[in-house]
Amino acid sequence: MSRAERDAVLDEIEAMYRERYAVFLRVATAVVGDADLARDAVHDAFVRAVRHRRQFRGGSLEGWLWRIVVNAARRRRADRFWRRHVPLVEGTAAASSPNGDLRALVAALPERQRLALFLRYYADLDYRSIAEALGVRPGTVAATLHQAHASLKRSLEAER
Amino acid sequence: MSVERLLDRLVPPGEERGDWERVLADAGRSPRRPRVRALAVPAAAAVTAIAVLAWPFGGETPTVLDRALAAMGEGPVIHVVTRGEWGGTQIDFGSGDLTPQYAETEVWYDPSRGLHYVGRLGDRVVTDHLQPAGPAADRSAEQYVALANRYRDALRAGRARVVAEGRVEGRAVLWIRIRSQWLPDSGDGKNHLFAEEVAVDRDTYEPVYTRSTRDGRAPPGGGSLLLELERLTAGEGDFSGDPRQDSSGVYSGSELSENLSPRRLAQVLGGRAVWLGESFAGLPLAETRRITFKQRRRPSDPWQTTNGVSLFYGSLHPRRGGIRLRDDSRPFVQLLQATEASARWPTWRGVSAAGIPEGSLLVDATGTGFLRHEGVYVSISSRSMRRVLDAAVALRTVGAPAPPRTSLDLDRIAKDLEARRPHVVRTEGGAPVAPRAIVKRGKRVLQRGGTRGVTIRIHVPGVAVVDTRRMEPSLKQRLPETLVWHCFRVLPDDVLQTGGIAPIPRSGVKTAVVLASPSFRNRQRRLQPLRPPYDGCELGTGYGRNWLPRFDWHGPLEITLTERGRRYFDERAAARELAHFVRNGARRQARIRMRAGAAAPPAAQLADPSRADIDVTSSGARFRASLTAPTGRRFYIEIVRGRIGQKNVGLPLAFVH
Repeated sequence: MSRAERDAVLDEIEAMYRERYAVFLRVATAVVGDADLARDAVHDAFVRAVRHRRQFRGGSLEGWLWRIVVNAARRRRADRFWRRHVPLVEGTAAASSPNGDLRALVAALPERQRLALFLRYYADLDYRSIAEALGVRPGTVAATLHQAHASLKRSLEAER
Repeated sequence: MSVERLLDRLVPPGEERGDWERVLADAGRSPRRPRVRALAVPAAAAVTAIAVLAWPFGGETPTVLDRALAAMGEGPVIHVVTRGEWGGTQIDFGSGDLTPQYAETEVWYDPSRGLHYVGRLGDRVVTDHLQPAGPAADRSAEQYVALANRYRDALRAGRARVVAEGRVEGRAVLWIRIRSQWLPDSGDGKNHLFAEEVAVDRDTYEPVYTRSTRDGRAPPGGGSLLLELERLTAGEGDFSGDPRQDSSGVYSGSELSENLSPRRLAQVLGGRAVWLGESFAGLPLAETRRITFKQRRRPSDPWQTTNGVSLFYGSLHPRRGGIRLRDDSRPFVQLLQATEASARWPTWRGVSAAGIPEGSLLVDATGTGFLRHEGVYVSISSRSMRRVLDAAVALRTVGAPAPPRTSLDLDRIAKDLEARRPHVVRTEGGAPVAPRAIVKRGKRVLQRGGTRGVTIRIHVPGVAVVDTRRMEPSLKQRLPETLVWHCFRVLPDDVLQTGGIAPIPRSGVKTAVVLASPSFRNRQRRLQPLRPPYDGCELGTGYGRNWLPRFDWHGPLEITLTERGRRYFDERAAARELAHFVRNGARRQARIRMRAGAAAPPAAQLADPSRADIDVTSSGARFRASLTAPTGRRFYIEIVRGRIGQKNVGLPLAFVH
C-alpha cells in the first residue's frame, strides 16, 4: 500500500470515527457491559486501526473497522473482572448499569448471536458488513439473527 | 416488549463524539499528551475538581486509567519513594515511649545524570549518595525503572484494569492490575493468576501502594507503600548526593574467628566491648568469638575489615567433627557488636541502623534489636521479644558493674510490641479470582502412556496429566516424598529437549504437570511450552552416585510414549551401567593406581565375571569397556591414565559413546 493510499485510508477511518463514534461506543458498551471499558475498547480499536491500516486489503472498510472494534471489546470483556469495575463518581454509571433482567436475557444468547444482534440493531449494518465483522459468511448472519430474534422473543414472552 | 425496545433499553443511544486527536496521538502520529501533574494541589477534592475541569482532551470524560497515567507524568526522570511494608518500633529507654519506625528509600534516576539514593530510617537520613550515570547506576535503578515503566506502559497500552476499590492505611484507593499471567501450580493442578497491582488514590489518582497477588489475594507483607512514583521532565529532580558515600555494588560478608576468653574480651574493641555477664537469664555465655565484617568493591580488591565480637548465650550442640554449633532451637540471646558500622551491618530493612540514637532500641517483628551503647553498635537477637528488651537494659561494658534495674515496665512494652506485630500496612479490597483447570474436561488425548500403576496423558501442548493414585506400593516406598516430573523429546546425538520440571507429592494424586521452560523476553519471565509429540516422560532421579542398579539401570519410573523414547531409555540404561562399571570394583582401584603412573592391569583383572556382557580390553596406559544395548547400539568408555578419555567427555549419555 502506497503512502497516498494509506493516507486515504486514514481519512476514511477518521471520517468513520467522527460520524459513527457514538454507534461504535454503543455496540462496545453492549459487548463489554461497561461504558468506561467500552470507551477504552473503542479507543484501542481505532489506535490499532490507524497503526495497522496498511493491513487493510480492500473491501468494506466499515466491516474491517467493526471487526477491530468488536475484537477489542471482546478482549476487554474477556477480563473476568469487568463486573467489578468501579465506575467513576462523576462518570457514566447509568450507562454501565442497565436493567439487570434485560442484560440477563441478552447474556443468555450464544456470543455470535449476541454480537450479530448488536451490530444489526445498534450499528444498522447490512449482513455483508456483519459477516465481515464477525468473520462468518453472510448466510450465517441471516440464520444467526433469526435464531437470536426467536430466542429473545421466547424469553420475553416467558417473562410476561 | 419487542426485541428493538429491549435493546434500546439495554444500551440507550448516546451522542458522545470521541477524541480523534487522542487516537492519533496514541497511534504515534502526533506529540504525546502534556503532563497535567502540575495541577495537583494538596487538597484532594480540589485536585479532583481541577483535574476534571482541566482535562486537556475535551469531549470525553477521562477514565480512571487516563487519570492514573496523567498523574504519573511522562518525563525521562524517575522519582520513587518507597516504604517497606514491614515496620518496627523504636523504644526510648528514658521515657518508655514507643515510636513506629519505617525504612524508606527515595530514588531519583536520570539515565544522563545517574542515580541519587537516599535511605531514611524514621526521620533520619542514614544513606545519601549519588551514583554517576553509567552501567552501575542503570543496574541499581533497574527495579525502580521496571516498576515505573510497567505501570506507565500498562496504563498507556490499555493492559491495566481497575479491578476493585479498597483502602490502604484508611485511604480510599482503586486497585489497578497492571500485569498478570496465569501460571500453573502442579501442587493442585490448576492455573493461578499471578498479578502485580498498584493502588491509586481515589481522589488524586496517584499511586500509593504496589503488591503482588496470587488469585487476586496478597499475603501480608507482600507489598510496598509508594510514597511517590512519578516521571519528571528532563532537568528536574534532585541529583545532589555525594558519590563517595555510594555503598552499592559492595561485596560484603562476615567471618567468625578465634574464641575469646572473658579477659581477652575486655581488651578488644578498645576496651569498649559489651556483654551480659557470664550468664544471662539462666543462659550461660556459651561462645565468645571475634567476628570480622568485610567489604570490598571488586573481587580483586583487598577486603576492608571491621572488627567485632559475637557472643552467644544459650546451648551448643554436642561436638561433631570438632565443631560445636549453636543450638537456636532452645532459648538464646546473641549479641553482635562493633565500634564501626560497615556497608552491611548494622542494617535494618535495607538501610543502615547506625544512626540509632544512644538510649534507644530499634526492634522489628523478627525479634532483632539494634542499639548504640557508648559508641558501640550492638544487635541483639532472640526468639523472645521480652528477652531482647531484658538484654538491652542489662548490657554493660565488660568489667563494668551491672546497670541498676530499669524503672520501665518491660512487661507492658513487650506486650505492646507483640500487639504491634506484624507492623503490616493495612490494606482492604481486591478482586479474588478462582483458579482455573489447566486441562478442560473432555479434552482430546494427544498422547498417553503408563507403567507401574502410573499413567500420563497429554491433552494440550505443554501439559501432562499425571495420575499416581494407583502407583505400585513397592515403587512408592522407594521414592522421595516429592516427585519431579519431566517429559522430553529426543534430538539427534542423544540430546534431550526437556519440558519443564514440576514437583508433585508422591502420595497418590492426579494433577497436571506443566512441560515448559521459562524464557525471558523484554526482561519478563514467560513460560514456553514444549511442543509435542513427546518421546517419553519420567521421574527425575539422582544422577551419578544415586543410579539405581535395582531398577536395572533404568530410572524408577520411565514412561515410553514413542519408539524413539523406548530406544532412548534402553540406551541410557546401558550407558549408565557401563559408566557405573568403570567407576567401581577392580576398575576403580586400577584407575587410582593409573593416575599415579601405573600401567593398566590386564583385561582379565578388570573384567567382572558376573557381568559377562561387558567386554574389557587393556593396553599400556589405557583400558576400554564396551557394552551392547538392547537396541543393538554398542557403547564404549575409554580410561586413559586413570581418567575418562577425551572421546567420552561432554557426551550426554553418561560420558558414553
